[in-house]
Amino acid sequence: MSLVEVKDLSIGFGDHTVVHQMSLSITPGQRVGVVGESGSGKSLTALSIIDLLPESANTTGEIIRNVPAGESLRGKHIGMVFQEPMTALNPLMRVGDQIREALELHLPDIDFTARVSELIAEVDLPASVAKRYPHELSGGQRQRIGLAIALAGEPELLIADEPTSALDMITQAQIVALIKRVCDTHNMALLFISHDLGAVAALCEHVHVLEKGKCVESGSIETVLKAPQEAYTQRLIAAARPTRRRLKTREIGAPLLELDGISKRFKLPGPFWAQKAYVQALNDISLTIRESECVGLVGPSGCGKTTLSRIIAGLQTAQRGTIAFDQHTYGRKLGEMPHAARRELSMVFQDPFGSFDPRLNMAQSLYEPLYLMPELGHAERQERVHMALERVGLTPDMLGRHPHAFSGGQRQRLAIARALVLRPKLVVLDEPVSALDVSIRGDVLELLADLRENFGIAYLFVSHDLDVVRAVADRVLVMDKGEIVEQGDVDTVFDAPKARITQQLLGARLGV
Amino acid sequence: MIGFAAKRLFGVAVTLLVAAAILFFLLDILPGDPARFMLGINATEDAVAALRTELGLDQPAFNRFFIWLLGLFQGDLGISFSQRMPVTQLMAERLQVSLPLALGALALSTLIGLPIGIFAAQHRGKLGDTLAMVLAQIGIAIPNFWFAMLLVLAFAVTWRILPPGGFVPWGENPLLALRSLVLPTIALALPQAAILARVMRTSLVDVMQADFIRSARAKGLSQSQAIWRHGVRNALLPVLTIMGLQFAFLIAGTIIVENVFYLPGLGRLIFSAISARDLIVVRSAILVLVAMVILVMFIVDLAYALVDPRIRTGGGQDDG
Amino acid sequence: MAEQSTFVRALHHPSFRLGLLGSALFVLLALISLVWTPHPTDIVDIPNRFANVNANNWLGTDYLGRDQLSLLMVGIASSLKVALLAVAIGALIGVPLGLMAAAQRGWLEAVILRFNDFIFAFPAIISAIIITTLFGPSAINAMVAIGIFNIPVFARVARGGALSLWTLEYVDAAKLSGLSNAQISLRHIMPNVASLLIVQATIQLSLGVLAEAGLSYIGLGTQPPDTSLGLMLKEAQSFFFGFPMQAIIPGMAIVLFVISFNLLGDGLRDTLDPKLTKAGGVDVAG
Repeated sequence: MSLVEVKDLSIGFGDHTVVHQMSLSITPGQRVGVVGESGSGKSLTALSIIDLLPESANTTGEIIRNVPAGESLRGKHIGMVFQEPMTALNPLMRVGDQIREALELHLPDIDFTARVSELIAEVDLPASVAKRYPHELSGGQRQRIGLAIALAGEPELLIADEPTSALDMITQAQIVALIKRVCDTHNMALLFISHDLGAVAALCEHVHVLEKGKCVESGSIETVLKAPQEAYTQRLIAAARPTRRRLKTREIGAPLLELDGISKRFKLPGPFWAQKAYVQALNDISLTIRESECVGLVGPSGCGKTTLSRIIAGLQTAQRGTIAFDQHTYGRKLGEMPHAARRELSMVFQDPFGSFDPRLNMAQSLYEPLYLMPELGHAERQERVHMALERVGLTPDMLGRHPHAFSGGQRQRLAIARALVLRPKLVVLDEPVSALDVSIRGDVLELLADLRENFGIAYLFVSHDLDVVRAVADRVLVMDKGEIVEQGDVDTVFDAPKARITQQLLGARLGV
Repeated sequence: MIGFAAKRLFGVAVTLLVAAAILFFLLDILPGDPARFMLGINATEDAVAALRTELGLDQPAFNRFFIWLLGLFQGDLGISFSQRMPVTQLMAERLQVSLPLALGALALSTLIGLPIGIFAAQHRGKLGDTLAMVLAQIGIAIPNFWFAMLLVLAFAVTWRILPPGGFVPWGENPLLALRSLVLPTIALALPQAAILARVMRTSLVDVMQADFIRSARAKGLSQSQAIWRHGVRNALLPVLTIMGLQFAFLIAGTIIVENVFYLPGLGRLIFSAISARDLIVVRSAILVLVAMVILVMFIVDLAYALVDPRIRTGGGQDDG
Repeated sequence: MAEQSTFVRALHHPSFRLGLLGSALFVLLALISLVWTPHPTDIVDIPNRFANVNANNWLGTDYLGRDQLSLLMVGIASSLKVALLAVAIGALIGVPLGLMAAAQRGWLEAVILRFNDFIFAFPAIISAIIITTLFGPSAINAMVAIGIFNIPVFARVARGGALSLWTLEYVDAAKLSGLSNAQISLRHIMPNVASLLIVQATIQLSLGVLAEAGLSYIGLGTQPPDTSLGLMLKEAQSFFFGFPMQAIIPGMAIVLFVISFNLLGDGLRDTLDPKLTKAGGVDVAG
């Protein structure tokens, strides 16, 4: 007998149907995954099972829950963990009290204080955490508290809706392991919702693949991964195993960018009379990037890789050290980054939706880098912009449109085109595919590889995704706590990692 | 928490000092010769000179500012030029009317506004919500002094159950004093209550969309339990800020509404001082008003910190 | 363009339409009064004072026998003028301050924020008292006093909106393109906070009408022989028990005036921030 049986469930808002004829069943102790891209309706499916759909949603079909009549479904029989650890807890209430509240609802006869401590211990947190407020905890710790709350009512089914998407790699692996462990100890069934095939593969026995609200494929995880039937599933799996791309016709050249002893620290906010406290964001960083080379930059969140890439791009300045780029040298003692250097360098950002001013059309945005080249005439400007568009596979007739008229993948192509307008020697790529749906990541990576092959552009490729870095980079730099702890040929480093953080990062990979 | 309070208290002190300096500059240095300004152009040289001596105007401006400040701390604000009474005593009398009026209106508007706002948010989109918000829309648009006139017309002229104006001092008959403040308090409070109701509703509706309300529901709480246990407290935060700002408007409103009811409050003291060109009174009375506003904002800051642990421990942990 | 489509979308919003209609009516009355009123407002006609509503004087006459409708039109015009100029003072000084604070951060931002908090401690009436003590009462003083209070309001809105924009990647892209902070503020920040500022302007406009009424009522604003809605109420007070209509008409005008602008602002805000309505919120109430 299954715990939950969903039959032909459709969910819509007004005339717009988001989930089409979804069916799934979960038996006691079974771990079921639902995988799909953003907007595929997977979260709505989860909310409908725990009966928390927004009032404006209309549903057809049937959900049979095997719950004794008159008992509370939520909390007691189904527990749920949400995506956003930052906002899922009440910011004004101690986390111990938030766990206790769930206990009071479902198990009124027990010793709450003792049970709260047990639950906190079960999610591997120290007992002192109970007295803390959510903002005093890290994302991973908050997600553990969320899990403790879900466990409080001792439910038979746990629904986890993208519980690890907002966390860094290492924390993500820990939370996935924790969910697996608690499901085993309590013999609890799991419905795991994720866009990450790797996480689903690590946790679930059974998987449903959703595309645009339709279930296109389902089956045991081994079968689906080994022999995917549908084109969409095949694309998802292919994207999780990125194709290796190396230079074919071109050679890596002379040093292009050299950093020597770059350091930066930030002042922590505090009252002006107190002793100033600092965080050392970067400590004595030296590195080299050669012409046509793709250098990967990886590290746990907060390691300083963002600060480093922004300093290289010229968005921030270092407090110590010098930079030699092309024929320019600059730094703390040598003065600001010269305009001539800015022309040789550009950047592609993570979020394709934040990359363009919504009020400007694409022409206005794409011509913007040419502020740096006032000597160019109108015809030359136009030629550069049109050429850049052509190189990313787009046409000039799109220039009149505003950003909202483009999909995420198209916007990222346009962002790359904007980076190409200056014909730079170095492009800083800050997580260029992380915000894209997995099925289009491959296309963007291929485009980047082609541009390097054809025009000899060097890349600094910042990413948290080691598989992607291994596929595209020649060399990799591993950062931890503001320092480069390991560097070298990408295969050498990843096959025989020396630094502890590299080992941890590699160990946290959830591959397919 | 203590550190937070100390930091804010320091800010209050600095703000007050700057306010005092600006007022001193505007009302003591800018008029050129304050004695001449106060007596008018027709005054004799002798009279002006006498007043100059009396006010200590022969001393340098910096010294005068210092003496004024020192007096503030000692409760000595000088002698009113027009009324020939210590300013402190004048103000103390007037504050007995103005302060209860402002505080009463603040309390009443909170008692009316917040429950209506919560009710409207809970019944969002239904008839009760629409009705409450239409009323609020009208309430916000009504000038409090005009509303006061209408109240006098209804309760004092037509039904004759409350006095149309005037004030019986507390010492003479506290009950009558209270009675004469009923209509002014209502006139001040209702428009403010309308604003509070709207802010409360918007804030609570926002909070009801928050992830942690959904978490609370997933835990097993009903919608109304989730709202009362988790929503209202979070929704109160922006409301607190507005209440602090509102106090400034209430002070302003007090000055205006006193006029409708012929109440001997701070406002009427200031107006008579303006027409008498009594800079001594104007300067100190305004500083007291500003100090009250700053003090209330300080209290609101403290209340905010009491409700919100993120403020008192300062900043969140950064994961990025 | 985005601006236009916002306006067109707002037209589907019932409270916006109602507000637009009301505001347009008041603005129209004000404009007409500049060139024509049903009767002259500067001729005293004592025998005809306190006339009731009649065919000649649609809203009756005041204590000097002047036509109430004509006075009302002129009053609306002067109230609107004071409120508009006060908004202009607040926006012209406050918006650049707010944009600068967001662009520059550091000590400049700290100074601007302190200044903001400081001005908030001076409600318009206190500024008006100080100004009046020094220069005597007039409509211009009321305007300046209200305008001063508008400065931190606009600075706060501009800074709040700008701060969230400065973290966006297109601003980084503009920095990479060598644009200065001032250029970025004008090209990318200002147009994106403009809608927020327009909403705030309608709110401050209606608050300005209320504040003008209050100041003129206590004699710190518009002075006779000019008139304004607040001054009409002040003059009506002496005859209020005998002739309540004298106060009820200008009062109602203020209420409708303010409601119209508020509905306009609410409608614009809801259209720009569809979060509330999308989740099933009510329109009229906002």
